[in-house]
Amino acid sequence: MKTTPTKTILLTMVALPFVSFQPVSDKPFQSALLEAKSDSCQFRPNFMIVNGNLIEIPFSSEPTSEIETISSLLEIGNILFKDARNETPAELEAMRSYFKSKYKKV
Amino acid sequence: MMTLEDAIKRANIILPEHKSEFTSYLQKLPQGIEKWLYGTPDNPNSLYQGDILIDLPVCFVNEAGDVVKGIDYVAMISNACDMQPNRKETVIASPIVRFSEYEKHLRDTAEKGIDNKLMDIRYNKFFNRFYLPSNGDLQESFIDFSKMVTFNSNYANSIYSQKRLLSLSQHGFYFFLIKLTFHFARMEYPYS
Repeated sequence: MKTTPTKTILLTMVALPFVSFQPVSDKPFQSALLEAKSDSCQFRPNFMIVNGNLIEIPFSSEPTSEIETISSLLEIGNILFKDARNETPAELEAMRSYFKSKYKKV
Repeated sequence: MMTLEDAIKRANIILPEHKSEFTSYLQKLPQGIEKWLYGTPDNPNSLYQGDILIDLPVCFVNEAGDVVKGIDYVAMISNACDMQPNRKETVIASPIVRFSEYEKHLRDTAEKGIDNKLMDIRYNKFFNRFYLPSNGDLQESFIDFSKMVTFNSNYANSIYSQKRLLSLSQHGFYFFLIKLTFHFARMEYPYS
């Protein structure tokens, strides 16, 4: 399988919806801004209102793009899972029969 | 050649204060994973990516085109933001397979090399399986990324407080994202 820019972009697009920005917020955060609504969604606004003044809060790490994020996660994965493999046909069959025994026809 | 330490340093999604500890955890894998994979959600009123929920209805279409259904533990796959109430119509989850059940099935079907197969799962050697060490009420298990099901988001958000068994720690979340991204976006070559 050749690594082409098109393929790389397509793979990135597949992975994008699954990669959230949770690590951007590592601490509980209070804000008077609308963005505070996204606190549980782990986005952290980098502005907040304190006593009526707009204060800029520096991120503890630089904001990063989705593509950079996926690329960096893949770099780690390529090292961690360099010996990873697909299931063999026998292992695939074992999983198929496992679910067949456990799940019943509706 | 890039080292694991270099790769983690380059990953901006991993907070600077977590990089050193996370590197040391990954360098020791699979030893110690049970000590850092799970954690407490920042906000108990939110559903998080990687959360483990118990006893949910799961269904698939089998090779004959029939819908088959079971009750299973699942791991939430959707991005945490997508699982917030009223954000999306559906959320995605993958079933969890317990080692004890899987091992019994392998022995019942006279599979060979069972211990090696289970060890490969513990070492995360399969592209599509994410190892879950035992913790409290969760037996040693794995997530099967090759199976994914959708739940209505309103349903998921209405039941998770009663059904959530475990959440991932921050380090566990990084590891989960790495494995999930690798599963979806890895490049395979003819020799692999």
